[in-house]
Amino acid sequence: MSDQIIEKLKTIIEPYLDEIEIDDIAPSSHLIDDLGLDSFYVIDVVIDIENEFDIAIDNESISKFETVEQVISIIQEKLDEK
Amino acid sequence: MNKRVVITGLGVVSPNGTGVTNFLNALKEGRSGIKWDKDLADLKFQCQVSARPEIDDQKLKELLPAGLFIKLENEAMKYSCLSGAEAWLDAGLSFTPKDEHPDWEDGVIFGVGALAMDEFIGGKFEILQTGNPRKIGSRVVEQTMNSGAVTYLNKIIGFGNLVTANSSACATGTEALIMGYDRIKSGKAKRMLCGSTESQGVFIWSGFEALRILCSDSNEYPEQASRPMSANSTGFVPGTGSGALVLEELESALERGAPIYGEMVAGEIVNGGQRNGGSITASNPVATQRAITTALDTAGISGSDIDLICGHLTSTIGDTREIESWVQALGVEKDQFPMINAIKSMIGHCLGGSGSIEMVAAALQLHHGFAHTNINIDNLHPEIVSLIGEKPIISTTTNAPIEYLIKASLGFGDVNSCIVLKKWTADE
Repeated sequence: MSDQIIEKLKTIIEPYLDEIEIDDIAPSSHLIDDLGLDSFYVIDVVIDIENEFDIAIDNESISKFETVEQVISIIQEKLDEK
Repeated sequence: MNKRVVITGLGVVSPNGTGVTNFLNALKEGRSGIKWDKDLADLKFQCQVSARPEIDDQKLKELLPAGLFIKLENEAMKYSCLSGAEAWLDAGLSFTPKDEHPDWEDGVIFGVGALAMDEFIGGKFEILQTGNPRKIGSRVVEQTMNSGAVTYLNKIIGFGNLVTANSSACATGTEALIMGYDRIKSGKAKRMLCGSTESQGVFIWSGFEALRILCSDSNEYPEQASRPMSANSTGFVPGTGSGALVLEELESALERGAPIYGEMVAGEIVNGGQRNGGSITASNPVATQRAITTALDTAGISGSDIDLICGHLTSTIGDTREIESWVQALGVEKDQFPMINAIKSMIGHCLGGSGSIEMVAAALQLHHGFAHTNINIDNLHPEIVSLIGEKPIISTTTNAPIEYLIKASLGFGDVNSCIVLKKWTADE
Protein backbone atom coordinates (compact mmCIF):
# COMPACT_ATOMS: atom_id res chain seq x y z
CA MET A 1 0.00 0.00 0.00
CA SER A 2 2.83 2.37 0.88
CA ASP A 3 4.11 2.43 -2.73
CA GLN A 4 0.65 3.27 -3.93
CA ILE A 5 0.46 6.05 -1.38
CA ILE A 6 3.80 7.45 -2.55
CA GLU A 7 2.70 7.47 -6.18
CA LYS A 8 -0.59 9.16 -5.39
CA LEU A 9 1.16 11.66 -3.16
CA LYS A 10 3.66 12.52 -5.90
CA THR A 11 0.80 13.19 -8.29
CA ILE A 12 -0.76 15.49 -5.71
CA ILE A 13 2.44 17.42 -5.00
CA GLU A 14 3.79 17.72 -8.54
CA PRO A 15 1.66 20.69 -9.72
CA TYR A 16 3.00 22.85 -6.89
CA LEU A 17 6.67 22.41 -7.74
CA ASP A 18 8.69 25.09 -9.53
CA GLU A 19 12.33 24.07 -9.45
CA ILE A 20 12.28 20.46 -8.23
CA GLU A 21 11.59 17.48 -10.49
CA ILE A 22 9.04 15.04 -9.14
CA ASP A 23 11.50 12.13 -9.32
CA ASP A 24 13.94 13.97 -7.08
CA ILE A 25 11.52 13.67 -4.19
CA ALA A 26 12.90 11.44 -1.43
CA PRO A 27 11.14 10.14 1.68
CA SER A 28 13.20 12.56 3.74
CA SER A 29 12.34 15.59 1.56
CA HIS A 30 10.97 18.43 3.67
CA LEU A 31 7.86 19.91 2.04
CA ILE A 32 8.79 23.54 2.66
CA ASP A 33 12.59 23.54 2.98
CA ASP A 34 13.42 21.03 0.23
CA LEU A 35 10.44 21.10 -2.13
CA GLY A 36 9.85 24.83 -1.83
CA LEU A 37 6.13 24.60 -1.05
CA ASP A 38 4.60 27.73 0.44
CA SER A 39 2.95 27.07 3.78
CA PHE A 40 -0.47 27.55 2.22
CA TYR A 41 0.33 25.13 -0.59
CA VAL A 42 0.62 22.60 2.23
CA ILE A 43 -3.03 23.28 3.07
CA ASP A 44 -3.88 22.59 -0.57
CA VAL A 45 -1.95 19.33 -0.37
CA VAL A 46 -3.91 18.41 2.76
CA ILE A 47 -7.23 19.07 1.00
CA ASP A 48 -6.13 17.12 -2.07
CA ILE A 49 -5.08 14.20 0.13
CA GLU A 50 -8.40 14.23 1.98
CA ASN A 51 -10.24 14.03 -1.32
CA GLU A 52 -7.96 11.48 -2.94
CA PHE A 53 -7.88 9.04 0.01
CA ASP A 54 -11.29 9.89 1.44
CA ILE A 55 -9.89 10.58 4.90
CA ALA A 56 -10.04 13.55 7.28
CA ILE A 57 -6.81 15.10 8.47
CA ASP A 58 -7.11 16.82 11.83
CA ASN A 59 -5.19 19.94 12.88
CA GLU A 60 -2.80 17.98 15.05
CA SER A 61 -1.77 15.83 12.10
CA ILE A 62 -1.22 18.86 9.90
CA SER A 63 1.33 20.14 12.38
CA LYS A 64 3.32 16.97 11.62
CA PHE A 65 3.25 17.53 7.85
CA GLU A 66 6.95 18.16 7.47
CA THR A 67 8.61 15.45 5.41
CA VAL A 68 7.25 13.16 2.74
CA GLU A 69 7.60 10.09 4.96
CA GLN A 70 5.73 11.80 7.79
CA VAL A 71 2.90 12.59 5.40
CA ILE A 72 2.80 8.99 4.21
CA SER A 73 2.63 7.64 7.73
CA ILE A 74 -0.21 10.01 8.60
CA ILE A 75 -2.13 8.88 5.51
CA GLN A 76 -1.50 5.25 6.42
CA GLU A 77 -2.64 5.87 9.98
CA LYS A 78 -5.90 7.53 8.84
CA LEU A 79 -6.55 4.75 6.33
CA ASP A 80 -6.06 2.14 9.05
CA GLU A 81 -8.56 3.94 11.25
CA LYS A 82 -11.23 3.74 8.58
CA MET B 1 8.84 68.59 -4.31
CA ASN B 2 6.98 68.85 -7.55
CA LYS B 3 8.27 66.22 -9.93
CA ARG B 4 7.12 65.94 -13.52
CA VAL B 5 5.48 62.62 -14.32
CA VAL B 6 5.57 60.72 -17.60
CA ILE B 7 4.07 57.46 -18.85
CA THR B 8 6.75 54.93 -19.75
CA GLY B 9 4.95 51.61 -20.01
CA LEU B 10 1.59 50.20 -21.05
CA GLY B 11 -0.18 46.88 -20.68
CA VAL B 12 -3.73 45.85 -21.45
CA VAL B 13 -6.24 43.01 -21.41
CA SER B 14 -9.20 44.41 -23.32
CA PRO B 15 -12.26 42.70 -24.79
CA ASN B 16 -11.25 43.88 -28.25
CA GLY B 17 -7.57 43.03 -27.97
CA THR B 18 -5.13 41.70 -25.39
CA GLY B 19 -1.61 43.10 -25.47
CA VAL B 20 -0.74 46.65 -26.45
CA THR B 21 0.04 46.03 -30.13
CA ASN B 22 -3.15 44.10 -30.69
CA PHE B 23 -5.16 46.71 -28.79
CA LEU B 24 -3.64 49.57 -30.80
CA ASN B 25 -4.75 47.86 -34.02
CA ALA B 26 -8.21 47.24 -32.57
CA LEU B 27 -8.61 50.93 -31.75
CA LYS B 28 -7.56 52.00 -35.23
CA GLU B 29 -9.88 49.45 -36.88
CA GLY B 30 -12.83 50.21 -34.62
CA ARG B 31 -12.93 46.54 -33.62
CA SER B 32 -15.75 45.49 -31.33
CA GLY B 33 -15.14 43.09 -28.46
CA ILE B 34 -18.82 42.58 -27.69
CA LYS B 35 -20.40 39.14 -28.18
CA TRP B 36 -23.55 37.22 -27.41
CA ASP B 37 -23.26 35.70 -23.92
CA LYS B 38 -24.74 32.26 -23.36
CA ASP B 39 -24.37 32.42 -19.57
CA LEU B 40 -26.55 35.51 -19.44
CA ALA B 41 -29.06 34.02 -21.89
CA ASP B 42 -29.35 30.79 -19.85
CA LEU B 43 -30.32 32.82 -16.80
CA LYS B 44 -32.87 34.91 -18.70
CA PHE B 45 -31.06 38.22 -18.48
CA GLN B 46 -32.65 40.74 -20.80
CA CYS B 47 -29.11 41.78 -21.62
CA GLN B 48 -27.46 38.79 -23.31
CA VAL B 49 -24.35 40.49 -24.60
CA SER B 50 -21.05 41.13 -22.87
CA ALA B 51 -17.45 42.07 -23.53
CA ARG B 52 -14.88 39.56 -22.31
CA PRO B 53 -11.20 39.49 -23.27
CA GLU B 54 -9.29 36.49 -24.52
CA ILE B 55 -6.12 35.64 -22.65
CA ASP B 56 -3.22 33.26 -23.07
CA ASP B 57 -2.96 30.98 -20.03
CA GLN B 58 0.49 29.87 -21.13
CA LYS B 59 1.82 33.40 -20.70
CA LEU B 60 0.33 33.51 -17.23
CA LYS B 61 1.92 30.18 -16.39
CA GLU B 62 5.32 31.58 -17.28
CA LEU B 63 4.80 34.60 -15.02
CA LEU B 64 3.50 32.93 -11.86
CA PRO B 65 4.96 30.25 -9.56
CA ALA B 66 3.37 26.87 -10.35
CA GLY B 67 1.58 26.65 -7.01
CA LEU B 68 -0.17 29.96 -7.56
CA PHE B 69 -0.98 29.37 -11.19
CA ILE B 70 -2.75 26.04 -10.77
CA LYS B 71 -5.19 27.36 -8.19
CA LEU B 72 -5.80 30.75 -9.79
CA GLU B 73 -9.51 30.77 -10.59
CA ASN B 74 -10.05 34.51 -10.54
CA GLU B 75 -10.23 36.12 -13.97
CA ALA B 76 -9.70 39.66 -12.63
CA MET B 77 -6.47 38.54 -11.03
CA LYS B 78 -5.29 36.83 -14.21
CA TYR B 79 -5.92 40.09 -16.06
CA SER B 80 -4.02 42.19 -13.50
CA CYS B 81 -1.01 39.87 -13.67
CA LEU B 82 -0.96 39.99 -17.48
CA SER B 83 -1.51 43.72 -17.97
CA GLY B 84 0.70 44.76 -15.04
CA ALA B 85 3.62 42.56 -16.08
CA GLU B 86 3.28 43.69 -19.70
CA ALA B 87 3.40 47.37 -18.70
CA TRP B 88 6.43 46.91 -16.46
CA LEU B 89 8.40 45.08 -19.16
CA ASP B 90 7.20 47.55 -21.81
CA ALA B 91 8.83 50.31 -19.76
CA GLY B 92 12.14 48.47 -20.14
CA LEU B 93 12.14 47.41 -16.49
CA SER B 94 12.64 43.97 -14.99
CA PHE B 95 11.25 41.83 -12.18
CA THR B 96 13.14 41.77 -8.87
CA PRO B 97 15.04 38.46 -8.56
CA LYS B 98 13.59 36.11 -5.95
CA ASP B 99 16.44 36.34 -3.45
CA GLU B 100 17.07 40.08 -3.61
CA HIS B 101 15.63 42.99 -1.66
CA PRO B 102 12.38 44.31 -3.08
CA ASP B 103 12.45 47.39 -5.27
CA TRP B 104 12.10 50.04 -2.53
CA GLU B 105 11.71 53.02 -4.86
CA ASP B 106 8.81 51.71 -6.90
CA GLY B 107 5.27 50.67 -6.07
CA VAL B 108 1.92 49.68 -7.47
CA ILE B 109 -1.67 50.84 -7.06
CA PHE B 110 -4.04 48.41 -8.71
CA GLY B 111 -7.72 48.89 -8.03
CA VAL B 112 -10.75 46.71 -8.40
CA GLY B 113 -14.52 47.14 -8.32
CA ALA B 114 -15.59 43.77 -6.91
CA LEU B 115 -12.85 41.19 -7.07
CA ALA B 116 -14.59 37.87 -6.78
CA MET B 117 -18.38 37.87 -6.90
CA ASP B 118 -18.63 35.01 -9.36
CA GLU B 119 -15.52 33.14 -8.30
CA PHE B 120 -16.67 32.93 -4.71
CA ILE B 121 -20.45 32.81 -4.86
CA GLY B 122 -20.51 30.59 -7.92
CA GLY B 123 -18.23 27.85 -6.69
CA LYS B 124 -17.03 28.05 -3.11
CA PHE B 125 -20.27 29.23 -1.61
CA GLU B 126 -22.03 26.04 -2.69
CA ILE B 127 -19.36 23.92 -1.03
CA LEU B 128 -19.66 26.00 2.11
CA GLN B 129 -23.44 25.57 2.13
CA THR B 130 -23.02 21.80 2.30
CA GLY B 131 -21.40 22.23 5.69
CA ASN B 132 -17.83 21.74 4.55
CA PRO B 133 -16.07 25.05 5.21
CA ARG B 134 -12.64 23.43 5.14
CA LYS B 135 -13.21 22.11 1.64
CA ILE B 136 -13.34 25.54 0.05
CA GLY B 137 -9.61 25.42 -0.42
CA SER B 138 -6.73 27.56 0.72
CA ARG B 139 -7.06 30.45 -1.71
CA VAL B 140 -10.42 32.00 -0.92
CA VAL B 141 -8.95 34.75 1.24
CA GLU B 142 -6.25 35.83 -1.16
CA GLN B 143 -8.52 35.57 -4.18
CA THR B 144 -11.38 37.55 -2.65
CA MET B 145 -9.55 40.27 -0.71
CA ASN B 146 -9.57 43.50 -2.69
CA SER B 147 -5.79 43.60 -2.67
CA GLY B 148 -5.64 40.07 -4.11
CA ALA B 149 -5.04 41.26 -7.65
CA VAL B 150 -2.21 43.56 -6.67
CA THR B 151 -0.76 40.93 -4.33
CA TYR B 152 -0.44 38.35 -7.11
CA LEU B 153 0.96 40.97 -9.46
CA ASN B 154 3.58 41.85 -6.89
CA LYS B 155 4.53 38.19 -6.54
CA ILE B 156 5.72 38.59 -10.12
CA ILE B 157 7.38 42.02 -9.87
CA GLY B 158 8.61 42.46 -6.29
CA PHE B 159 7.89 46.10 -5.40
CA GLY B 160 8.91 47.43 -2.00
CA ASN B 161 7.20 50.83 -2.06
CA LEU B 162 3.42 51.31 -1.71
CA VAL B 163 1.51 48.19 -2.85
CA THR B 164 -2.23 48.67 -2.57
CA ALA B 165 -5.67 48.43 -4.16
CA ASN B 166 -8.01 51.39 -4.44
CA SER B 167 -11.72 51.22 -5.15
CA SER B 168 -14.05 53.85 -6.56
CA ALA B 169 -16.44 51.88 -8.72
CA CYS B 170 -16.12 52.90 -12.38
CA ALA B 171 -13.57 55.61 -11.60
CA THR B 172 -11.22 53.08 -9.99
CA GLY B 173 -8.73 52.96 -12.87
CA THR B 174 -8.27 56.70 -13.30
CA GLU B 175 -8.18 57.10 -9.52
CA ALA B 176 -5.27 54.63 -9.34
CA LEU B 177 -3.41 56.74 -11.89
CA ILE B 178 -4.12 59.93 -9.98
CA MET B 179 -2.95 58.42 -6.69
CA GLY B 180 0.24 57.16 -8.31
CA TYR B 181 0.82 60.52 -9.96
CA ASP B 182 0.53 62.30 -6.61
CA ARG B 183 2.93 59.87 -5.00
CA ILE B 184 5.61 60.48 -7.62
CA LYS B 185 5.06 64.24 -7.63
CA SER B 186 5.58 64.35 -3.89
CA GLY B 187 8.83 62.37 -4.22
CA LYS B 188 7.66 59.31 -2.28
CA ALA B 189 8.24 56.95 -5.20
CA LYS B 190 10.22 57.00 -8.41
CA ARG B 191 7.83 54.85 -10.42
CA MET B 192 4.29 53.69 -9.81
CA LEU B 193 2.60 50.94 -11.76
CA CYS B 194 -1.05 52.01 -11.85
CA GLY B 195 -4.06 50.17 -13.12
CA SER B 196 -7.26 48.36 -12.34
CA THR B 197 -9.10 45.18 -13.08
CA GLU B 198 -12.61 43.80 -12.88
CA SER B 199 -14.11 40.38 -12.70
CA GLN B 200 -16.93 39.00 -14.76
CA GLY B 201 -19.95 36.76 -14.80
CA VAL B 202 -23.58 36.39 -13.96
CA PHE B 203 -23.36 37.39 -10.31
CA ILE B 204 -21.43 40.63 -10.74
CA TRP B 205 -23.55 41.69 -13.71
CA SER B 206 -26.92 40.68 -12.23
CA GLY B 207 -26.99 43.76 -10.02
CA PHE B 208 -26.82 46.02 -13.05
CA GLU B 209 -29.47 43.94 -14.83
CA ALA B 210 -31.71 44.42 -11.79
CA LEU B 211 -31.10 48.17 -11.96
CA ARG B 212 -32.28 47.98 -15.60
CA ILE B 213 -29.26 49.83 -16.87
CA LEU B 214 -27.85 47.14 -19.19
CA CYS B 215 -28.47 47.10 -22.93
CA SER B 216 -31.63 45.06 -23.50
CA ASP B 217 -32.44 45.29 -27.19
CA SER B 218 -29.39 44.05 -29.10
CA ASN B 219 -28.99 40.38 -28.32
CA GLU B 220 -29.11 39.54 -32.01
CA TYR B 221 -26.62 42.28 -32.94
CA PRO B 222 -24.03 42.29 -30.15
CA GLU B 223 -21.58 44.57 -31.95
CA GLN B 224 -24.26 47.24 -32.20
CA ALA B 225 -25.31 47.01 -28.56
CA SER B 226 -23.10 49.75 -27.15
CA ARG B 227 -24.15 53.10 -28.62
CA PRO B 228 -22.76 55.99 -26.57
CA MET B 229 -24.23 59.42 -27.38
CA SER B 230 -27.13 57.83 -29.30
CA ALA B 231 -30.81 58.65 -29.19
CA ASN B 232 -31.61 54.94 -28.96
CA SER B 233 -29.12 53.83 -26.30
CA THR B 234 -30.81 51.35 -23.99
CA GLY B 235 -28.06 50.80 -21.45
CA PHE B 236 -24.44 49.79 -21.17
CA VAL B 237 -22.86 46.50 -22.17
CA PRO B 238 -21.15 44.78 -19.23
CA GLY B 239 -17.47 44.21 -19.79
CA THR B 240 -14.32 43.12 -18.05
CA GLY B 241 -10.60 43.49 -18.39
CA SER B 242 -7.61 45.38 -17.10
CA GLY B 243 -5.27 48.18 -18.06
CA ALA B 244 -1.91 49.15 -16.55
CA LEU B 245 0.38 52.16 -16.98
CA VAL B 246 3.84 52.82 -15.60
CA LEU B 247 4.13 56.36 -14.29
CA GLU B 248 7.66 57.59 -13.78
CA GLU B 249 9.51 60.64 -12.61
CA LEU B 250 10.66 62.49 -15.73
CA GLU B 251 14.32 62.65 -14.65
CA SER B 252 14.47 58.92 -14.09
CA ALA B 253 12.84 58.18 -17.45
CA LEU B 254 15.29 60.45 -19.27
CA GLU B 255 18.27 59.05 -17.40
CA ARG B 256 17.57 55.50 -18.46
CA GLY B 257 16.36 56.40 -21.94
CA ALA B 258 12.91 54.96 -21.35
CA PRO B 259 10.16 55.12 -23.97
CA ILE B 260 7.90 58.09 -23.13
CA TYR B 261 4.27 57.86 -24.23
CA GLY B 262 3.33 61.27 -22.89
CA GLU B 263 3.36 63.48 -19.84
CA MET B 264 0.61 63.38 -17.25
CA VAL B 265 0.08 67.06 -16.49
CA ALA B 266 -3.04 66.85 -14.33
CA GLY B 267 -5.09 64.34 -12.38
CA GLU B 268 -7.99 65.53 -10.29
CA ILE B 269 -10.74 63.84 -8.30
CA VAL B 270 -13.83 65.59 -7.08
CA ASN B 271 -16.76 64.07 -5.24
CA GLY B 272 -20.20 65.50 -5.84
CA GLY B 273 -21.21 64.57 -2.31
CA GLN B 274 -24.41 63.03 -3.68
CA ARG B 275 -25.85 66.55 -3.56
CA ASN B 276 -27.40 68.89 -6.11
CA GLY B 277 -28.53 66.20 -8.52
CA GLY B 278 -25.72 63.84 -7.65
CA SER B 279 -26.63 60.46 -6.18
CA ILE B 280 -25.07 57.08 -5.59
CA THR B 281 -25.55 56.27 -9.27
CA ALA B 282 -25.47 59.68 -10.98
CA SER B 283 -22.83 62.39 -10.95
CA ASN B 284 -23.47 65.86 -9.64
CA PRO B 285 -22.80 67.87 -12.84
CA VAL B 286 -21.15 70.70 -10.93
CA ALA B 287 -18.66 68.19 -9.56
CA THR B 288 -17.99 66.71 -12.99
CA GLN B 289 -17.32 70.21 -14.29
CA ARG B 290 -15.16 71.03 -11.32
CA ALA B 291 -13.01 67.95 -11.95
CA ILE B 292 -12.51 69.09 -15.56
CA THR B 293 -11.82 72.78 -14.82
CA THR B 294 -9.48 71.94 -11.95
CA ALA B 295 -7.56 69.59 -14.23
CA LEU B 296 -7.27 72.31 -16.88
CA ASP B 297 -6.01 74.76 -14.25
CA THR B 298 -3.46 72.29 -12.93
CA ALA B 299 -2.24 71.67 -16.49
CA GLY B 300 -2.09 75.44 -17.02
CA ILE B 301 -4.22 75.34 -20.16
CA SER B 302 -7.67 76.36 -21.29
CA GLY B 303 -10.43 74.33 -22.92
CA SER B 304 -9.43 75.52 -26.36
CA ASP B 305 -6.04 73.78 -26.00
CA ILE B 306 -7.67 70.35 -25.88
CA ASP B 307 -7.41 68.31 -29.08
CA LEU B 308 -9.23 65.17 -28.00
CA ILE B 309 -11.74 64.24 -25.32
CA CYS B 310 -11.87 60.59 -24.30
CA GLY B 311 -15.23 60.53 -22.57
CA HIS B 312 -16.67 58.31 -19.91
CA LEU B 313 -19.76 57.95 -22.18
CA THR B 314 -21.39 54.66 -21.29
CA SER B 315 -24.34 54.32 -23.70
CA THR B 316 -26.88 55.33 -21.07
CA ILE B 317 -29.01 58.40 -20.43
CA GLY B 318 -26.04 59.84 -18.53
CA ASP B 319 -24.26 60.60 -21.81
CA THR B 320 -26.20 63.78 -22.53
CA ARG B 321 -25.53 65.06 -19.05
CA GLU B 322 -21.83 64.31 -19.46
CA ILE B 323 -21.65 66.20 -22.76
CA GLU B 324 -23.32 69.18 -21.10
CA SER B 325 -20.60 69.10 -18.49
CA TRP B 326 -17.84 69.02 -21.10
CA VAL B 327 -19.43 71.99 -22.87
CA GLN B 328 -19.76 73.98 -19.65
CA ALA B 329 -16.32 73.14 -18.31
CA LEU B 330 -14.28 73.56 -21.49
CA GLY B 331 -16.04 76.81 -22.37
CA VAL B 332 -15.31 76.67 -26.09
CA GLU B 333 -17.58 77.69 -28.95
CA LYS B 334 -19.66 74.95 -30.55
CA ASP B 335 -17.72 75.10 -33.81
CA GLN B 336 -14.43 74.88 -31.90
CA PHE B 337 -15.43 71.84 -29.85
CA PRO B 338 -12.60 69.24 -29.90
CA MET B 339 -12.85 65.72 -31.24
CA ILE B 340 -14.53 63.34 -28.84
CA ASN B 341 -14.63 59.57 -28.73
CA ALA B 342 -16.18 56.84 -26.63
CA ILE B 343 -14.19 53.62 -26.50
CA LYS B 344 -17.14 51.93 -24.78
CA SER B 345 -18.78 51.73 -28.22
CA MET B 346 -16.27 48.92 -28.88
CA ILE B 347 -15.58 47.33 -25.49
CA GLY B 348 -18.67 48.09 -23.42
CA HIS B 349 -18.25 49.23 -19.86
CA CYS B 350 -15.48 47.33 -18.08
CA LEU B 351 -16.56 48.81 -14.72
CA GLY B 352 -13.61 48.92 -12.32
CA GLY B 353 -11.32 48.00 -15.20
CA SER B 354 -12.64 50.70 -17.52
CA GLY B 355 -10.62 53.72 -16.41
CA SER B 356 -7.27 52.01 -16.81
CA ILE B 357 -8.05 50.31 -20.14
CA GLU B 358 -9.31 53.64 -21.43
CA MET B 359 -6.21 55.44 -20.16
CA VAL B 360 -4.05 52.97 -22.08
CA ALA B 361 -6.12 53.86 -25.16
CA ALA B 362 -5.64 57.56 -24.38
CA ALA B 363 -1.87 57.22 -24.07
CA LEU B 364 -1.70 55.31 -27.36
CA GLN B 365 -3.71 57.95 -29.21
CA LEU B 366 -1.57 60.74 -27.82
CA HIS B 367 1.68 58.97 -28.61
CA HIS B 368 0.75 57.80 -32.10
CA GLY B 369 -1.17 60.96 -33.05
CA PHE B 370 -4.66 59.68 -33.82
CA ALA B 371 -8.19 59.66 -32.50
CA HIS B 372 -9.93 56.30 -32.72
CA THR B 373 -13.31 56.07 -34.35
CA ASN B 374 -16.65 55.93 -32.57
CA ILE B 375 -18.76 53.02 -33.76
CA ASN B 376 -22.57 52.81 -33.67
CA ILE B 377 -23.23 56.53 -34.03
CA ASP B 378 -25.86 56.41 -36.81
CA ASN B 379 -28.51 57.79 -34.54
CA LEU B 380 -26.96 60.53 -32.38
CA HIS B 381 -28.96 62.01 -29.55
CA PRO B 382 -30.51 65.28 -30.77
CA GLU B 383 -29.66 67.10 -27.54
CA ILE B 384 -26.02 66.11 -27.95
CA VAL B 385 -26.01 67.25 -31.56
CA SER B 386 -27.51 70.57 -30.56
CA LEU B 387 -24.81 71.00 -27.92
CA ILE B 388 -21.69 70.17 -29.94
CA GLY B 389 -22.79 69.38 -33.50
CA GLU B 390 -21.93 66.15 -35.27
CA LYS B 391 -18.43 67.01 -36.37
CA PRO B 392 -16.54 66.37 -33.08
CA ILE B 393 -18.07 62.88 -32.84
CA ILE B 394 -15.68 61.33 -35.30
CA SER B 395 -16.99 58.44 -37.37
CA THR B 396 -13.65 57.26 -38.65
CA THR B 397 -10.21 56.92 -37.10
CA THR B 398 -8.52 60.26 -37.65
CA ASN B 399 -4.80 60.87 -37.81
CA ALA B 400 -4.02 64.19 -36.21
CA PRO B 401 -1.36 65.50 -33.87
CA ILE B 402 -2.75 65.44 -30.33
CA GLU B 403 -1.02 67.99 -28.12
CA TYR B 404 -3.42 67.77 -25.17
CA LEU B 405 -5.87 64.98 -24.40
CA ILE B 406 -8.41 65.02 -21.60
CA LYS B 407 -10.08 61.95 -20.09
CA ALA B 408 -12.82 61.64 -17.52
CA SER B 409 -14.14 58.65 -15.60
CA LEU B 410 -17.23 58.86 -13.44
CA GLY B 411 -18.09 56.31 -10.79
CA PHE B 412 -20.96 55.25 -8.55
CA GLY B 413 -20.62 57.18 -5.31
CA ASP B 414 -20.58 60.45 -7.27
CA VAL B 415 -16.87 60.13 -8.03
CA ASN B 416 -15.67 62.46 -10.80
CA SER B 417 -12.12 62.07 -12.04
CA CYS B 418 -10.25 63.82 -14.81
CA ILE B 419 -6.78 63.42 -16.28
CA VAL B 420 -4.90 65.59 -18.79
CA LEU B 421 -2.09 64.16 -20.89
CA LYS B 422 0.37 66.22 -22.92
CA LYS B 423 2.34 65.02 -25.88
CA TRP B 424 5.98 64.45 -25.06
CA THR B 425 8.56 66.00 -27.33
CA ALA B 426 12.17 65.16 -26.66
CA ASP B 427 13.52 68.69 -27.17
CA GLU B 428 11.77 70.12 -24.11
